[in-house]
Amino acid sequence: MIGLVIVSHSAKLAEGVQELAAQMAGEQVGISQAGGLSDDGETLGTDAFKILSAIEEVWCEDGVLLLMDLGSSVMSAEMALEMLPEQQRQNCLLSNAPLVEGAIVAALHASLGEPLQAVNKVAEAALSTPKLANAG
Amino acid sequence: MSNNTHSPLLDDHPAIPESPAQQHKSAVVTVTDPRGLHLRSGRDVVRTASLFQARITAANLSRNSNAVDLKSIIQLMQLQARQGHDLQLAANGPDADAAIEALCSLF
Repeated sequence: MIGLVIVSHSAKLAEGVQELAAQMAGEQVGISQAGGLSDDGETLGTDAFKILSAIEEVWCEDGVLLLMDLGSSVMSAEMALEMLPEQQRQNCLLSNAPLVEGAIVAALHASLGEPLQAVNKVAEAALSTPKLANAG
Repeated sequence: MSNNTHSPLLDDHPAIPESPAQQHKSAVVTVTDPRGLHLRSGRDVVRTASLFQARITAANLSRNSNAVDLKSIIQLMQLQARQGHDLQLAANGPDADAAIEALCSLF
């Protein structure tokens, strides 16, 4: 079963998304978060080392999917991956999915035991799925 | 999209009147939850639907919506199903009957 990492500029947002995702996944899926810049989480921003710790917290052979808000979240997540040993990095994937919808979908599908690429595919499909049925 | 690749041996079996791959089943359910079909109840629907091979769809008759894939939480939420809305569930596949039976108990 894959693990999930939630990355956001805001510690509160990261915690909230983690909470939502955990409710969709149940107990089995490891979900960690890296939100905010400073240790106390009061400063907005992203920190590659925090993301690295979050990856290590949930890392498993089945893989880890990283869900990010945007901008420097993506760059810091890339840097965190570069700091991982090659063998662990191979099993990590940055998702193009929107953070909230992607985390909800990924958590549910991860809990169904789906592999990393499949979970990412359904999470990224949220990009093209309008929340209002008659929109888009 | 169909993955009904059942053993051809089944077709030769006289005790089975119809190939299981041919099952089609549909039902209309009414949403009873005062909060409608929300994320958590949707999660349980998707979990149950995912246990079956059948392709399963749902349309919100009360909103005249298109049918969506019941194995997708993001599509299920598109139904915007409120209390009292009627949903048409439809399943196609070898275990369609059992799938609809299991899903109907969730609404």
